[in-house]
Amino acid sequence: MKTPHEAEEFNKNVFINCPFDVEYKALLHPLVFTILCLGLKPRLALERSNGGETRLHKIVELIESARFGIHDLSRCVAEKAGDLYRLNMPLELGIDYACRRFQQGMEKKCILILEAKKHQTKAALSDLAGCDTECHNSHPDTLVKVVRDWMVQECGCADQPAAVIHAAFLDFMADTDKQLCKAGWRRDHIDQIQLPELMRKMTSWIESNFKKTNPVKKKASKSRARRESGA
Amino acid sequence: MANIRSADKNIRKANTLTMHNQSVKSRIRALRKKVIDDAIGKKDAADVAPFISEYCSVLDKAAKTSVSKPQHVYSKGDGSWGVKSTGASRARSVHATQEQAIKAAKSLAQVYHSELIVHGRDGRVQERCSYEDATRSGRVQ
Repeated sequence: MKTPHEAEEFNKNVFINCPFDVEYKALLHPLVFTILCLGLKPRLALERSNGGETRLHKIVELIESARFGIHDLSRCVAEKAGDLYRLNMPLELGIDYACRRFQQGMEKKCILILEAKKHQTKAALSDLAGCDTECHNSHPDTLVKVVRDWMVQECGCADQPAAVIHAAFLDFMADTDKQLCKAGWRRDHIDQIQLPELMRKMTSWIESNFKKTNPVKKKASKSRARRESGA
Repeated sequence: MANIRSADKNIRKANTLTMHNQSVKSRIRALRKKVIDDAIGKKDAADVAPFISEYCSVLDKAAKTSVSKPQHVYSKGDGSWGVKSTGASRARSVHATQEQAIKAAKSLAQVYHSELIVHGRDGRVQERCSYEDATRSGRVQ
């Protein structure tokens, strides 16, 4: 049984299951920024680094604490001959699915499966044939749109347009770059900034810039809604 | 076309702001021409000083009121490249290649003495170049 505070946290948490390599950063940063812009909290295995904690236990704990799960299977491919097929993402998707299916109180869990091209994963994961998937074409612009549309549909959060979020992300990157250059950071160090630090910067930038210029429209009060319905 | 009163008002407000911005930009161009062509040509410090002072003042005010904003070059989802200014959510112009977009953004940044910021496909800043005038911010004695 969750306390009201835990239930509120659960409804806001979004578990992100994706690769953390350099190539995927191009999609990971806009993805995290979009979730923060929508007033939700991204949860990733990278958010803390503790040598005493088993990776799989941490992932299970993150999955249990989040109502929403975004699973990107687009990188589950061997890039060249002799490479091994990456199986971390399907494993974590399986854990999330099992949590929704078998754990009490987790029926509200929502899962978004992403792939680079439509039906890309079905050749290898034919059991997903009946599941809805979305494709992002490996481009940040499309990814922001897909994730924003899904989040607004599933949780009814602030409905900022995707174009505004992507434009705000570019402004954030430019502002952060300028700020770090001024503080004496080297260009290569800026490009390798760690995700938890970047997330803190994103949160404070969104608080001071994005929310001021794009305020969330308040829902109509009960009396106003009654008046408008003509009762 | 406006269907409701508030939409009509928004259009009127946007037109007023656009006219104001155009007048500021036109004044910047006129003063720049005066400073570079007329005043500096005379090579007389006493003649040049008031124009430079006025030019700096207009430029600083334009930057402060966000008339001259940095120009961003960025990748769009359909493979094209867009040019937008800071705070805008729509592209000012769209180009087939990054080079064409950089060229367009550079000319805008040069006219308005702002900054050119080139983003990669991943959104990270690849290059930034300032075209703010050297005479601004009190750098000229």
